[in-house]
Amino acid sequence: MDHKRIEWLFFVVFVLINLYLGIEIWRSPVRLNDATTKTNANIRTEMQGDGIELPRNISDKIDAGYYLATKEANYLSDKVGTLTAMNAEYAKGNSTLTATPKMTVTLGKTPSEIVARLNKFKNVSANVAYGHQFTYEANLSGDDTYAFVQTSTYGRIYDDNAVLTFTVRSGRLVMYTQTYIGPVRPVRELQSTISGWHAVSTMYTDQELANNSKIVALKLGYSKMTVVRGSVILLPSWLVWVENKETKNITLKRVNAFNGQILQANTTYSVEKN
Amino acid sequence: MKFKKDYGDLLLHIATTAAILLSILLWIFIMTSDQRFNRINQPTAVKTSTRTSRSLYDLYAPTSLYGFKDGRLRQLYDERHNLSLEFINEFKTVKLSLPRVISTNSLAYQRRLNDSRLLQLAFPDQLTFTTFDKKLVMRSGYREFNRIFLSASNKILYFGNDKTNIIYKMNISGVNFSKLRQYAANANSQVPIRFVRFKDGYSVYYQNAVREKVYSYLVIHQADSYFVSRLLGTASVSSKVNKDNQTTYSLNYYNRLRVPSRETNDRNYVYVHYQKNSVLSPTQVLRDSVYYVHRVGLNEQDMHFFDADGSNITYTNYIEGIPVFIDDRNVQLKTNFLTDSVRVQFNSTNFQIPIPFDGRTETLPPTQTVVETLMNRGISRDSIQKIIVGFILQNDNSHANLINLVPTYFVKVYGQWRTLASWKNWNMTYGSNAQKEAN
Repeated sequence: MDHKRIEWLFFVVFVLINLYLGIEIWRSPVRLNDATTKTNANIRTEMQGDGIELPRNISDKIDAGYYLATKEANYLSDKVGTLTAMNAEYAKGNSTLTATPKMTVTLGKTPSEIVARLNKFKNVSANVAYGHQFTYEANLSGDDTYAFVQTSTYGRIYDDNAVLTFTVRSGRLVMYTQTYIGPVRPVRELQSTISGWHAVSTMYTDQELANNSKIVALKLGYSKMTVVRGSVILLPSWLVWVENKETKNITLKRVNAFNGQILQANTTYSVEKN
Repeated sequence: MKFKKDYGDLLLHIATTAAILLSILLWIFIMTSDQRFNRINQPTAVKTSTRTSRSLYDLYAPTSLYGFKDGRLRQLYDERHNLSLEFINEFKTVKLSLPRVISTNSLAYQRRLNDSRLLQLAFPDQLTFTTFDKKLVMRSGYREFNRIFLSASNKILYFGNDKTNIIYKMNISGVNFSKLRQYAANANSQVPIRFVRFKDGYSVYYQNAVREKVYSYLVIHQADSYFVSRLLGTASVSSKVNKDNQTTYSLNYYNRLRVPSRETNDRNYVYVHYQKNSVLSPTQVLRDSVYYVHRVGLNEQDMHFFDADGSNITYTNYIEGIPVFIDDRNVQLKTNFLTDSVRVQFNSTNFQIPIPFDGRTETLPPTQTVVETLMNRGISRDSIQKIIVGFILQNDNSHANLINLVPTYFVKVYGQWRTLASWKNWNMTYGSNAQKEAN
C-alpha cells in the first residue's frame, strides 16, 4: 500500500516538474517573437500604470522611407507676381510668403465646409503657388487657422519651411502664410523604418513621454535633418502629438524612423568644399 | 476486481515511468539549448539589442537581383524601389516547407541560371535552410543555398547552391511576389552581365567597362565607453594600457575588449568572449553571430551578411546594393567562433547622413581584365574564389567626418579579400605560403 502511495506521489511530482519544464521551454528565449510580445506587453502595462494613454491601434508593422534632399533656394520669391487674386509679399529673412485676398473669400460655417473650400481655393494658381502640393493637416490646425503641409510622392513633409497656413475668421479668409521647401528627390534607395509602436515605446524608455499624458496622433512623415552642401536632407520620422492631460497642451515630438532616436532641434553641418 | 486493480497498477507504473522519462527529456532539451545556456551564463545584464536591431531576415537578405530583358541576362537595380527589401518583406511571411532536391547536375544548374523566365536573388554566400526555419532539417550536404530562383508562380521557390550545383524546389504559400516582378521588370538600371564560375561559385562578369557612382556620407564614431558599456557592462570592469597605447578592458576572465589608441585614426575594436568548449554547426554559427552583431551596437540600417568561411562570419554595410570595405581588405564586422571563445572584430564607423550624389563616377574595366591582371601577377585562375565590385571607404580631406565610397574591384583569393590594386602589390613569397595553406 505504501509502495503504491509513493508511486502516486512520484507520478504527481513528475507531472508537476514536467509542467514547469514545459512552461520554461515555452518561455524559452529561442522563441524570439514571444520575447518581443512579452516586452511589448510589459511596456504597455507600465505605460498604463504611468497614466499614459495610447491610441487604440498603434501598428507594430515596419514601414519604409527614403532619405530625401532638396536644394536650398527662395522658391516663392518669384511667385509673388503670379498670385493675381492676392495682395502678396515675400520676406526673404524667414522665406515666408504672406498674402491677403483682393476680394472677399467666403468659406462656410463648419470646419468641414471651410476645409473643402480651402482645398479648392489653394489649387488655383492665382491664389496659391504650388497649391496642389499641399494637404490639409488637422493636427497642426487651430480654431481659426487651417494648416496644409507640403506633400511629395514620397510622403508628407512636416517642417516650418513646408507649410501653408490659412487664417479664417467668421467664415471668411483673412490671410495666409506659406513656406515651400522645394521639390524633393531620394538620396538613397528605399529603406525599412521602425514601426509606430517601436517609436512610441522608444519615447517611453527614453523618458520623452511624461506621466499623465495622451498620444493624440501618430503619423509617419518627413522631417528636416540637416543642411549639407546647400542641400536640405530630410528623413522619415514618426510624428507623435502628445497631450498633457492636465493642461491640455499638445506637443509635437519626432522620432527618427530609421534609427529610433529622438529628433531634437535641427542641426546644420558645414561641409562645403574648400 | 483483482484484474481491475492489477490493470490500474500497471497504468500507474506506465504513467509514472513516462512522466520520469519526459522529465529527463525536457531537462536535456533545456540544458542543451544554446540560447538558454548563453543566457544563464551571461555575467552581466547587458542590453543586446539596439533600437535599430534588425531581424535575421534583414541581415541575411539577398543583395543582388538578376533577370532577363531583350534576351540578355542583366543585373537589376532600382533606385525608387529597393528590390531586396521588397523580396524580404514578402519572404518574411512565407510559410516554408521542406525543400526537395530536384537536380545536382552542373549543366542543369547552368540552364537554370540562364532561364529567361526566372528572376534570381543572390545572397553574398551560402546560408542554411535552418537559418530561416529550424524545422527545415536536411541531410548533410543538402543544407545550403545562396540563390533563389523566382518563377511566375507564387506557390514554388527554387533554391540553388553555386558550390554544389544542387537545385531545390520548395512549395510555399501565403505570399505574392507580383510587385517584385513588376518593379524588377521596370528597374531603372539593367546592366548586361553573364555569370562565370570561379572556385566558390558564380561571379558577375561585366563584359564591358562599367561606370559606378561615388557616394559620400557624414559618419560618426561612438566613444570607447559606449562599446565598453555594451559589451562588458558598467561594473567591475578593469583596464590596462599596453605598449602600443591600445587599452584592453576586461570583465572577469571571460570578456575582453581591446580598443584602438586615441592617438591614431584606427577605429578597429576586438572583443573576445571566452566560453565552454563547443563546436557549432553552420546554422548555429550563422544564428549566434547575429547575437553579437546586435550586441556590439553599431548602426544596422544598411548592414547585411557578407561572407561565411567556416566559423568566420562577416557583415558589412551595403550602399545601393554594393558592399563597403573599410579599407583594402576588411569589412565592418567579423565574428569568429573558436572552440573556446568568440572573437568579434569591428570598426566603429557609423554611416549617419547621406550626401546627395554630386556626379562623380569611377569607370571599372571589364571583369576579364581583372582576371588577366591577377593571372599576370602569378595568381592562377583556379585560386580565384570570387570577384565583386565593392566600395572602399576613403576619408574626404574637406571635412573630418566626411567619407567617400569609391567603387573598385575586390577579389577573394586564398580565403582573403583584397582590392585588385592590393593583389597587384601582393607579396609572392607570402602568397605561395598562403596558397599552400589554402590547399
